Amino acid sequence: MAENRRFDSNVKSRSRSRFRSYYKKKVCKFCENKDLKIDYKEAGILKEFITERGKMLPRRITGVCSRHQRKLSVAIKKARILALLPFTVHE
Amino acid sequence: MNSYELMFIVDPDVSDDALEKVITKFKDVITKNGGDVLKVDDHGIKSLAYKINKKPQGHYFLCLFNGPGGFIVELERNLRIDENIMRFVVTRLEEVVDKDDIKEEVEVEDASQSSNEQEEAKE
Repeated sequence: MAENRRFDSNVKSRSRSRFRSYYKKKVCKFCENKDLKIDYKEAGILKEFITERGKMLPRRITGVCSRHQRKLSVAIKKARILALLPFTVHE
Repeated sequence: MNSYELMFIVDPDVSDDALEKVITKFKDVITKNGGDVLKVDDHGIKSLAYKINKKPQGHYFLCLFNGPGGFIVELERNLRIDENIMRFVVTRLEEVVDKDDIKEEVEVEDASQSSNEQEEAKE
């Protein structure tokens, strides 16, 4: 029993350390660079935050902070209405 | 008093006369209701991300104006009635823009380039 538990904890710590070694902390692009404004007219910037299919990318992939993600989602939706960005991309 | 930004797409097949009519009409709607048009930018004909009214292209315009919030409903109603307007979005800006700020910007633009856009903005 005791050995088993020790073994389990070893695996856990090992797996965690491995995870940490791979982990690279992402910083929000818009917090880092204050000159970069979220604007629904700038489709070029917004395109970095959507997939090839036109869907919005989640925060865990892009590393954007929650405040800017909220503004980004509104901007992308406005850009879609104005046909600057697609709602969907069909092949 | 708030600052607003109006971006709208006009049918690219519309003639120049009709285009001018459309723009002056909306300028009138804004000024009649106590608003103040600061500038109108012509962004030219651009291809759309998806077809609107079976058309692959649209003529983009960006208009900046100040005014009380109440008449936005009236402006949007007018925009919806006009058949030449394919799409529009009215956005309230976070910061209120003064007339003087715009004038300085226009002067800088004038020095670097000359086009019809500035004439429209000055009006």
